[in-house]
Parts: sequence; structure tokens; C-alpha cells
Amino acid sequence: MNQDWISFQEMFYPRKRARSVSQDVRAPIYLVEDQGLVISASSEGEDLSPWLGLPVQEAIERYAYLSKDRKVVTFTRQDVDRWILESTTHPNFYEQVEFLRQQAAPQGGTQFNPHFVIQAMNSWWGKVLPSAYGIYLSIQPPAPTSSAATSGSAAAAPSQAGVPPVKHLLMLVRRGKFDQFHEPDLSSLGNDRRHRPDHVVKYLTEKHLVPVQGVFVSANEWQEWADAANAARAGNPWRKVAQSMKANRTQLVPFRWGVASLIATRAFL
Amino acid sequence: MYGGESNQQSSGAGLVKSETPANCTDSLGSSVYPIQLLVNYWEIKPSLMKARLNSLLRMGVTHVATFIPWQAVESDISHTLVRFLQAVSERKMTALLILTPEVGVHYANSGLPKDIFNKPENTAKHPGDGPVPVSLPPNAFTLPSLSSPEFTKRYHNFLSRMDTILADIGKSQPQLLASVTSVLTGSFWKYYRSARSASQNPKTVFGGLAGDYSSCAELAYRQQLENYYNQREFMYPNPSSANRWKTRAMEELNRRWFSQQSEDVFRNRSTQFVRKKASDVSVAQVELFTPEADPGYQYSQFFQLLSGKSADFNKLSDLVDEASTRASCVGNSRTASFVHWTSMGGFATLSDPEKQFLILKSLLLMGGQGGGMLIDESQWFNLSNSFRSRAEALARSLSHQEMTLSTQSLYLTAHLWSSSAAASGNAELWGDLWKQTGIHSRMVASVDYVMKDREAKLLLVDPSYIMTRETIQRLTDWARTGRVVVMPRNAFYSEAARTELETVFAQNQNPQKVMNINLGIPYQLHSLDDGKLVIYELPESANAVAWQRFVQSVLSVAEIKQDVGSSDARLNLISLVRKEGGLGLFILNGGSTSVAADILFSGEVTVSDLALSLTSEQRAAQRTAQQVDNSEGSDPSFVPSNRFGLEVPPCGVLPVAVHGMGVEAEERKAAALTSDLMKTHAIEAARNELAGFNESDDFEATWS
Repeated sequence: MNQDWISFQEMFYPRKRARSVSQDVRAPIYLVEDQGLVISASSEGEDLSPWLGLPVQEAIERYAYLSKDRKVVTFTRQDVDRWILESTTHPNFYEQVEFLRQQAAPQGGTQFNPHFVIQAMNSWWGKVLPSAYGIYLSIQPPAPTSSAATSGSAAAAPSQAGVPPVKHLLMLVRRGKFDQFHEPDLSSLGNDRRHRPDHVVKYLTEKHLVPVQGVFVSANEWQEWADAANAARAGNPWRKVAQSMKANRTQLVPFRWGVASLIATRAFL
Repeated sequence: MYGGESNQQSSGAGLVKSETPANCTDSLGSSVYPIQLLVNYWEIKPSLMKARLNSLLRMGVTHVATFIPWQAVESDISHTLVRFLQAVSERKMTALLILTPEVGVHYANSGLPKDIFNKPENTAKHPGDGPVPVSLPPNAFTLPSLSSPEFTKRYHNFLSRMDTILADIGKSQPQLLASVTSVLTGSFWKYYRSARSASQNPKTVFGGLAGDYSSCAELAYRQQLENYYNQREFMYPNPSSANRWKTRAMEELNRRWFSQQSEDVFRNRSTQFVRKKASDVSVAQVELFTPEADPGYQYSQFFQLLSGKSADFNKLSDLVDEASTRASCVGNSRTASFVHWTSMGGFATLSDPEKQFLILKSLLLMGGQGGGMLIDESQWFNLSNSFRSRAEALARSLSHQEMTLSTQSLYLTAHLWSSSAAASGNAELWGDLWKQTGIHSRMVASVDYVMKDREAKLLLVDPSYIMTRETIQRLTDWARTGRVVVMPRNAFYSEAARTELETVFAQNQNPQKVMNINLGIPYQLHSLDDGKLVIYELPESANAVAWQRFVQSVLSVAEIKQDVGSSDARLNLISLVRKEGGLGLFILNGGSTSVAADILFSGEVTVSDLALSLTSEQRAAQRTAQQVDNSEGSDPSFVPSNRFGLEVPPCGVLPVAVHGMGVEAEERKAAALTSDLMKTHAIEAARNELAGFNESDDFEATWS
């Protein structure tokens, strides 16, 4: 499968273990209205079913304790239906979702924060990077010793008791759009070569005929970067990436000065 | 306690499920194990097939389910499916093969051939005249029309091909087929609704009229309409009598009938195609529902995609509630209802406690009726070991029918997936019935289903149901066995049906057998042998309260009452009848805060921890302890009461065993009542016959 949404989601949007008890009180409230009545209402962690069937303004006023100091974003049913139908003309789910977000954005409709890596790939990096390129992310299991963390073995390591299996994802970008994202098939590489990052990246480059940048990082570091991106005060995730690269905990294979410069730019400027 | 627990890293072996699916039956006994783990065989590289199945086997999985994407079979040059079946058989595992096109399949266009979508005439349209989108990865698409001749022809070719593949395997490797069950489902019919109508009525997620209104369906509808009303039934007393059924005023009625009939024909034909050559392969009829793909969830999903936050947990929970009330059948066989939780949609974004809650709810509501839950194996093994163990214990108990969800009342409708027709104004009989009986009511669209049911005491007929002579005969026969049938007096009777009904009334010559009652909705109550027939009027202006009162009164005529309730409406109660007596009561809190409430019973009962009962090795110990404590009477959990206080955490499911309710309790109550009556009569007889008798005298002293 060329667009493996499950692997993409697992890589960039890991599952939640605990239910968030304290909701973000500033999370927006989304409404769909039809002929002035609320037919759908949602806000994370809230049960807004009492809003259904009420006139929009009355619902907002009646439940002012919920909507006070919060953005209430209202869409008309016709618009939403039209956008959803139009989204089906796009080739894959990633682009379909991006289309919906673009349509909803003028009404302040999207609060979505993409993963910082995806955000960077969709930014001005697109003007610097080649028109077609690949990024191979290999997330290693948390190492039991410090030396194992730097081994950067490419393929799925034998599973250890209590240790999650390694995740890996190849993303191919062509003309600024995600063309493919999936776990690559490395079965044709021998057992020895599959554990050598340089061989893996070379194989993927030759197979897909685009330059592929390999990034080999431990699961702990990957999670730390994501946490830093989510929490405003925890620090710039790119700075953590740069520090990790400097300490050799994260490997770029092959090492490309251009890519390192892009990361450094994000980290320190 | 189930659910509401913090997750632990999933590791180690899960419990072994070694249930071997039997042939499809129409009994409530589950021929399909309640927990089905979904494996996408086409995503497993052929060279890694064995290793993948070995890893599942190591985790204790011996039984898997897989969709068979149509396109995957048509382009299967590597024979991946056969390799998969071989690998399953070699490991003595079993596999369910879901042949019918379904939503929520991790394959482009849910596995449908792309060229089917190139022609607009093949696209389904909901009653609002718009295409029906399904917004799930790997790509959102619009549903095709199952009435399209091109689609149907290719689909039947696909089924024939599958039949041939399985038959060929059976010739060369007969032992391989023993491990395979073909599954046929309801496909896309239930999703032919607009998101607008599904959302407009806040009381139901299956709101509005459902059905395919594409040009292909329109053509088929006109043809079927002519054929149906050309029957002698509708041409009595003269051929022109059929014309009144084809007027515009009858359009909605006829559409409901046609939609249901189309689905029934589709399912029956599918069954014929998969049994032509591979007749040895078991076939299971399943009603598969994917809440994340339902039109009622579409706007919630839109919000979730915009925000990137969690899915609408409450909406998903409501969808499971409503889907559990729909009961379908194929021919004479009841289908097993399954809920499908995907790894791609909103379910995957929920927290672990929320997922656990929905899983348990699906198991209780669907598994209690012989169905269960289909879940991606990666989602399943992401959950904690302890939760999986408890869910497995519950599933085993349900599959052995140690606990079942009882049916108290049935609602016969013209179309299972449309909202019930309005009785008058905005009143909906089904809505009132469901509110008062909850999970113990079933909506059905087949008289065959009604005839086979042994549990329900009441049947309400939807005002939009077309009544024929045969329907009247069958329903009155059903009523005569000690049950209550409630039918509307409206224009949707054929003349033959009207004549039949008059015959039934004429047989009740005794005026005492007919009562005229008016509590807002006038109705006639007829005695039919051991049962009753209620014919109600449809007044033009009756308010919702009058209809609620009407439903309450027919429930009391049928002697249906709620034995269990909660003092807090935020708690949901699911009560299952236990084979060994008593009830298994599950108290669910889907909210985000703990709820402390009282559970109220109609009589005095004792309660204990059901979770212990579900673990077989502890069951014997508990029985021993129970016997000892009963004799000593000291254990506080066995002190009878009709009210118990408890607190349920958020996303919690509290299992409680209730003793002293159910059939045995009813019999005890009846015996106590009889005893009291006999005592009263004896005293009265003694007073009349014995001079000087005084009931306050000491009888013992007298006789001594």
C-alpha cells in the first residue's frame, strides 16, 4: 500500500493512554448549523448533546458557561457537505484532510497542529529541498545501555521483552506533495545488510529513484522531540534534534550538510 | 471493575481463543466468537506470512478474521490469499473471510474496483439526492449503488470466483477448508443516509429515510413496484384496487418497503453464489456495523480532522446503543450483529479507557445477542493484558450463552435502517418504546424473525408497515400464544388483510373479550386465546405525552416492566440473564467524572461481584463461600435489599451479579401471591362454614 495511513498515524500521532480529565478550557467549540439550528456540536472531552436541535444563538447563550472565553466556530451544513464531497476527488486521505482544513481555515476552523517534522516539510524547506525526495524515519527501541542507543540499526530489531518494536516509515515527496508513505519492504536485503543504515538508505534510493535521507533516532528521543513541540515552554524541538545529532544520538544517513543546515536554521534562528 | 483503568504496556501472551466456528444457525447460540481480531492478509508480504502468523500464535491468537477486498482478489498474482489460508491451516488456526464489500477496509476504495467509480450512474444517492461519502483512510470515497446492474454483475462474478477458489482448495487440500468460514454481511445498505437527516433528530442517529435513490435504484424501484402490486393480494376486489398503492402519497411507504426488499434480495443472492461449488465451507450471516463510517458520525469526524484531537466518544457510544437494537435476518436465519472498530478512524484517537469502554459495551450489547466485535489486532494488543483477559472472560461467557440479552418487545418496521414512521405529529412509537424498555427492545423488518422469537411478549407494528392477509394471519397466530400484538388502524391494509382482520374480530363474539380504551390514543383491546390484539387509531393531533402514555399502557398489558433502574440517568444499565439464574448487571458510566448513584430493584435481591463469577477457577470457590455464608448469614454482600449504592469511575463498567431476580424470582413472587390468596380464601371459607370461628384464635391450641 502506497499510503499507509495507519503507519503514518502511529509514527506522528501516537495513541493516548489516559483520558484527559482536565479539558483545555480554550479548545474551540465546533458547530454545524442547518437552517439556524445546531445539528452537530463538538469540543474535545465535552458532551454537547444538549445543544442539538437548539437555535445557534440560543445554544451559545444557554450554555454560556461553556462557551465563555472560547471560540465558537460555526459551519453551515451545506458548506460541510460540499467540502466533504469535494475532498473525495483528491487521491489520498492526507490530501483530503488537508483540503478540508484549508476550506475550514478562513472561519478559524482548524486548530490542528501538525507534527513538527511534517510542518517543516510543508514549509519553505520545500523551496530548498529537491522536487522529489524521500525521508526514511527509523525509530529504534529504547536501548538498555547507552551504546545500543547509538547503534542505529536500520531494520526491525528482534523484539525484547517489554520493548516496543522499532517503527520505520518511508515518505516520498514529489512536487511538494506526499506521494507515498508506508513501511518499506526490506525483505530483499539480506539479514546483514538490513541492519546497516547506509545499505538501507542506498537500497531505498535506488528503488524509488529519488534521494532518500535516512534519520535514525531512539524512541525516547523521538518522544522527547514531540513533547517539546507540544509544550510551549519545553523548548524548541529542532534545538533538541540538533543537540541529539551533535551528541551522535541521532544519525543522518547519509550525512548531508544541506539537511543539517536546515535543521540548524530551525534550531537556532 | 472493567475499564477506567490505566493502561500498561502490552506484552506477553494473550489468552488463547480456541473456539471453532460452527455452521451458521438461526439460534441465539453464537456461531461466531464474540471477539474477532482483524488481520489484513494483503498487507503481509508473502515471505513474511508465516512469521506474522507465528507471532500471533505466540500471543495466544488461534482465530482471526480478514476482509477479502475485491480488488485484492482480482489482482492477486502472488496468490497471497491462498498462502494466507495455507499458513492458517498449517498452524491449526481458523479464519473468517468477510466476502461482502464493507466500509472501513484498509484498502483503496475499501477494496472496490476503481473503474466502478468512473461512471456516475454507479454512484449511490441518499434520499436528499446526494452521494454518500465515507471519510476513512486510506481514502475517502463515495459509496457505489448496490442496485447498479454493472456493480451487481461484477460482484456476483467476484463471489463466484471466491467460490471457485475455495472449491479448488477444497479438492486439493480439504483440511484447509475446515479452518475457514465465509462471512456475508449487510454491506453498504445501512449507510445510504444523509448526514443531515442522521443528525437532525437528536434522539436518534438513524434519523430520516434511508435508501438508495440513484438512477439505477429508481429504475429497479419502478419495476419492483409494478411486480409487487400486481399480486392478487392487491388486486382484490378488482384490478384497479392496486392503483391506490402506487400514488404519490404512498411514495415514502413504498420506498421503505423497496429498500428493505432490495437488501434482502442482495443478501439472499450473495448466499446462493458462495455455496454453488464450495458447499462444504461454513457460511455465517453477520450484520456488521462500522460506527466511524456512519453518516451519523460524519460531522463529528469532520471536527476531529480539523482539530486533530480525539474522536467524539459520546457519539460513537450512542451509535453502538442504537445499532444494538436493530436485528436482521437472512431468509430464516438471524444474523449475528458485530461492531467493527477500525484502526484508521476516530476510534484509534481515543484514550485507552475510552476504547475499553466501547469494546466492553460492544461485547455486552452485541455479544449478548450472539454477535460481538471486530477489531484490528494491533488495536487489540495495544490494550493492557489485564483488560484483555477480562474481556476474553466475558467473551467466553457470552459465547457459551452463560449470559444473554433478553428481548422483551419487538418493533416491526418496513425498513430497518430508516427512522420509524411518525405516528402523528412528531411522535415516534419506536422512540417511546426504546425510552421505556431500553436495550430489551428490538427493531426488526421481518415477520419470519418475529415468528421465530420465543422471548418477546409484545410486538408493535410501525404505522408505515404494509399489512397483507398473510401478515395478519401470522401475527395473530403469534399473539395467540400468550403475547400482545399492537397494530395501527390505517390505510395501509390490503383489502384481503382487512377482511382477515374482520374475521378475527368476528371470532371474538363475546363482548367481554373486547375493550375500548382511550388514554389520549383510542385503541381496542381484543383477547385472542391466550394473547391480546391491540388496534390503535392514529389521531391527527395527539401530543407526545399521549403517545408515551399509550406505549406505557400496552407495556403494562403485555406485563413488561423494568426491574432495574438507577437514580442517576448518567449511568447506563445492561442486564443480561444468566443461565445459572439471576442477572448479570453491568453498570456503565461513559462520562468524564465519577458517578455515585443508587441501583434500584423492583424487589429485594442480593448482589455480588460478577467479575469473580466470570473467572472459572474462582467460580467454584465463590460458590463454596456463598454456601457457607448463606448458612451463616454473616456476609454483608448477601444481605437482601432493593437499593444498593455504588460509585462508578469515568469510562467504568461495573459488573454485578444479582441474585433473586429473573424467572426464579418471578416464580417465587407468584408462589407467594398464590399462598397469600389461598390463605385469604381459606380464612373466608372457615368464617363462612365454621360457627364461632375467629381468625385471631390460636389454631394450634384449638387442634391440639
